[in-house]
Amino acid sequence: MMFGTTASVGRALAVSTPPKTVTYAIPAKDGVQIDKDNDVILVRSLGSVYAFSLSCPHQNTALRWNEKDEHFHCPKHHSEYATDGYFISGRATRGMDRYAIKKDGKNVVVDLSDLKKDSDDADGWKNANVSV
Amino acid sequence: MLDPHAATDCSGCPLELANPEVVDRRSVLSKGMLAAVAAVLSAPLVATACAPSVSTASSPAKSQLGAWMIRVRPEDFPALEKVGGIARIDGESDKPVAVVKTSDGYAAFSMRCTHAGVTVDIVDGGFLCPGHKAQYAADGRWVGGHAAKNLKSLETSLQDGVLTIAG
Repeated sequence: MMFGTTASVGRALAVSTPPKTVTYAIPAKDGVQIDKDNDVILVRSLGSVYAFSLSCPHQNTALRWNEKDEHFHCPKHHSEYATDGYFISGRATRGMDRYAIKKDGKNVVVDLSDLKKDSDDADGWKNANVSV
Repeated sequence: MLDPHAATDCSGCPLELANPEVVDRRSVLSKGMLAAVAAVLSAPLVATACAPSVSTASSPAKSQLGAWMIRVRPEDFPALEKVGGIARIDGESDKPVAVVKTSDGYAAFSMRCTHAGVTVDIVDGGFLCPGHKAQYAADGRWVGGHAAKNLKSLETSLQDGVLTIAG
């Protein structure tokens, strides 16, 4: 029963899983790339790199990148987020969830087992980025 | 329903919004035309209860969907008397626009913070976002605080003492 419950709410609560990391080359310029295999959004913006969960923090709908407005957008309830994940407007109650991220030479290493929510850990969320 | 076109006498109105229906499609959809009109009507520069009139002349600003323009008389804003002075000129609408007096005329900027869209405050020598503290100089350049791009610069043209700002 417990396992069923855990599975149904997704990886956000799956805190007991062993650390899983994924490595990306640091993007050469500002932009957004989406890793659908790992449900990660990798962003380089204004001197920082961030790794976000693809899921909207409201109801886990996959977020989309709106190139024109340079915002992330949830197609379900129209929440909007800035490029660094800050909540702008809509139904959500927190910014986009960020994975812990470290710089390793020309790469960044994203820890998929360490998801930071700004509502639970404001400092951890703020620090979940690397300067490039 | 308040009708922005219902005003009969707009002579001498210092503010003229071309094509107010498309001033901002998203804000109109999200907040309602009523609120947008109320915001304009409550502006000090239209204290004569003069509603924005619809311009029928074609203009470059209309070439794109959602384009808009505002016309003001800079002389109505004391802050614009000296170079470097900044005034918000949109009358507290939901499309905040600032005009800056420059050495050779005027510059205009959107007052939406380029980070998360919060309306920035005018401070001494520039702008400060109350949301996450991005700072901008009077020429719209981002100068510190939360990382952001420069403020969006808007086109201006001055004719017969009337400044037209197009976005």
